[in-house]
Amino acid sequence: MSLGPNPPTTLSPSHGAPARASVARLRPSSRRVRAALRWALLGLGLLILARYLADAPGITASSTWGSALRLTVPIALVAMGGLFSERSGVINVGLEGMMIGGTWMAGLFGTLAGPWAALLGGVVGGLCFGVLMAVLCIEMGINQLIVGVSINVIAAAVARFMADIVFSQMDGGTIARSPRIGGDVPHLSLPVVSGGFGTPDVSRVMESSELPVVAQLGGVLGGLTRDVSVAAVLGLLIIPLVAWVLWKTPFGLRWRAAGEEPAALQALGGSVHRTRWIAVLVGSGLAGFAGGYLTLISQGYIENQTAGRGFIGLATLIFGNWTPSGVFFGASLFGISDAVGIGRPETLRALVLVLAVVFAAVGVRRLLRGTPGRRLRDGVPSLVLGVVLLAVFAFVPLPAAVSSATPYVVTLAVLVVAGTRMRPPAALGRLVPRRTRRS
Amino acid sequence: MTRRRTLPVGLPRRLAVTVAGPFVSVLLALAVTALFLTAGGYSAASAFSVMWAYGVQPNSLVSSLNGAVPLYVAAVAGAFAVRMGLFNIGVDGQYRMAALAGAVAAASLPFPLAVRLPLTLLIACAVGAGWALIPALLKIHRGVNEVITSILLNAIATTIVAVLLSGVFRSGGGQNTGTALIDDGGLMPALPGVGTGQGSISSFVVVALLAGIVYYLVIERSVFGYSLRVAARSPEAAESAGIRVDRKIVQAMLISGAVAGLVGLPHILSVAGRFDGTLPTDLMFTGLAATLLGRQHPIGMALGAFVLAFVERSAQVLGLVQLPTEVGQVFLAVVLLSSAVGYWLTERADARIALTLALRRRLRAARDAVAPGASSTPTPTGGASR
Repeated sequence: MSLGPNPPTTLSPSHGAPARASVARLRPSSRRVRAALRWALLGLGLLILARYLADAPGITASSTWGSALRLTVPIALVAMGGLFSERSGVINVGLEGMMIGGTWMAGLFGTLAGPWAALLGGVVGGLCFGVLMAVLCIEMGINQLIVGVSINVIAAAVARFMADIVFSQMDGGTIARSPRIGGDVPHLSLPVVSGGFGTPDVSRVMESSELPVVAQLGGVLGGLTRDVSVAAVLGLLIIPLVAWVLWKTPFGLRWRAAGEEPAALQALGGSVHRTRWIAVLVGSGLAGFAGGYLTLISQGYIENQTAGRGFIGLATLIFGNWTPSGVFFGASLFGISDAVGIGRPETLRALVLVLAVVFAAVGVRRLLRGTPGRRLRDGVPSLVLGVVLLAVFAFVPLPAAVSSATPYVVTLAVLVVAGTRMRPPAALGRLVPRRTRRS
Repeated sequence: MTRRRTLPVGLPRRLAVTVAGPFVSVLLALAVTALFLTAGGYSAASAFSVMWAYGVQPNSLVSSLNGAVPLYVAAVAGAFAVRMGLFNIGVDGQYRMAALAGAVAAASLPFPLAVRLPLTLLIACAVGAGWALIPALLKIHRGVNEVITSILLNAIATTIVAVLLSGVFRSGGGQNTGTALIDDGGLMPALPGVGTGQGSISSFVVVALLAGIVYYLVIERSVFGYSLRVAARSPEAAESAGIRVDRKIVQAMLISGAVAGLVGLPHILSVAGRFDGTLPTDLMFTGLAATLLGRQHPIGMALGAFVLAFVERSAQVLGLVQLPTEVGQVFLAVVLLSSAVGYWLTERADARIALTLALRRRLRAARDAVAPGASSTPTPTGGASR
């Protein structure tokens, strides 16, 4: 199993080609389906290999993949929120703050009116800060980085202040957490595959069979499809929806134009301001929804429960080169490594092995078939990183304490390898005055 | 800035604009905080009066000054990067790594104070600069945005510090979760002759002062600072003028990181006496507020840092009178934003005034041209603005 026989097209669209090439991307041609299948099989093969080499059943256990899914959704959602505003040309560093607003409002709505209201409350909480950001950044034209950073700090302070006023007075609430939300949104499982709707649970049987390959396939499949919250399903469905809106609809065209070349949009009669307003508001709503999702998982608002996820979402957004598919890839990478990190140490070792093999393979491939003239520059860092990780896998005992840094280190490593291919929207951060300024 | 060069601007007005910016910002923040207090059912007026009465006591003022020092250093660290067009959001990780290194160095170096203290500062600077070097190198060699690498590195620094603290540098066992206590030969002495105990001022004020002076000299008065600012404004122009932008990025991040390395030391060497869980974690954002409040001007940032520290200190009294102490946090957060809004407002107002004055002058000139003999008396505004 080497990376050799794959045509180069399977790799490049997910990294490089921005807006132009991507209209065709949503059409699942048979070649793309085949490529996706091949990558999935390759990944599964690697996982199985790692499971036996590192003797880590955790890496293919359904519990790991279930929590990977749960951890992926909020990151993907908040990064989608960032994608909305950044594709329209507004830098959004305030995602974390919007998420905090989401968790707080979700806690309030949830205690008052149940789990569905909590999700709605998340959106409302995000929107509060979205409006603030839109007014300051779009109407007044204040530096977007400053506004974003301020929103993060303000949201944290105001959430604590308001929690003292609101939640402390409630039965069972304190300054640091809201009363428990009664109930949860329904959880679903796929029929037959993972025992949804009263059908037999094939993947659980497969996982407990202990046969090589079959058990691992069952574990991964079951983890991803069993007992998934409707909120997570909603969140995951938003990703293709965003992709469709971005690449296929008239609004998507205006949206991208506002971020790439606002003057052109204006010349063609579109309104940059209206487009940016919509984008920022929808984006903040999504970030707030991610907060609401977190609140649902923890059954109530807890102070600091976002734990920097907004920033990770921002990193994922850049990592995914401002495309929905890239963002989803980045978010799942982060989610998986987070899930592995909270597991047992040998699971972490297995992950190190998988990464080492991938990095080394990418490095070798770039050295042999990369763009002439850049082969050394592109290939060597990747290869070196792969070899180092292999050495870590073979010789260094990883203490359990380092596992909390796993997702960050993994994201950083992948960034280093991917590197140099990012292209932000051209007009990111550029202010467009509403009309010619007279003063 | 947005002010037109063709409009003559009198010194009094320029001064007024400079002062009005921070003033309006603080007023705005006070107003918003009052709004929150009122919404929560508290009396804003009584809260502010209690805070003011507590804040202007001599002990509080001294404590505010000591609290302003790390904020000012953080502000200078941020400003170095901002002047290069970079956003050093990694100050957080840099100062925590450096604080741990500084605490260990101060506790274990076998030298007298005169040698140990400068060495401690140097080591902290080096660690901070080293941690800031990673995003800089990744930016220029791999093209990865420095904001995201810094964010990731902040999280990684948290883990590294935790692992090092629990595994390597923890002194003793059991409940003790800090590094070894630093003896008197490693602590920063108080400023001589200005009170004792609670009322003493740490000599870190001098360090902060030096940092401010160095910042001013490097950025405003040196070729290096000039090329830095050119590279920030227009990388293309800088490249074609022979300035190597890549190198400037690395240098700016190194300096910013080195200064950031000092941020945590006042707490280590003057307050706690060791590295433990009490090191404040919000110094970067509050320092950033000071950067913005002072518009990256060395004196402006100092005033900003003092105002922020003053509020932080005086909010502590609110708990005694049954008011939420979170008011201080809200104020600090809001001032971050209102500093931007305040400057926006004053600049617009300034532009408006300039426009009105110019129009009036134009009209008068037209009138004079029509009736040359009628008026030759210069009006006071016209005279002042010329």
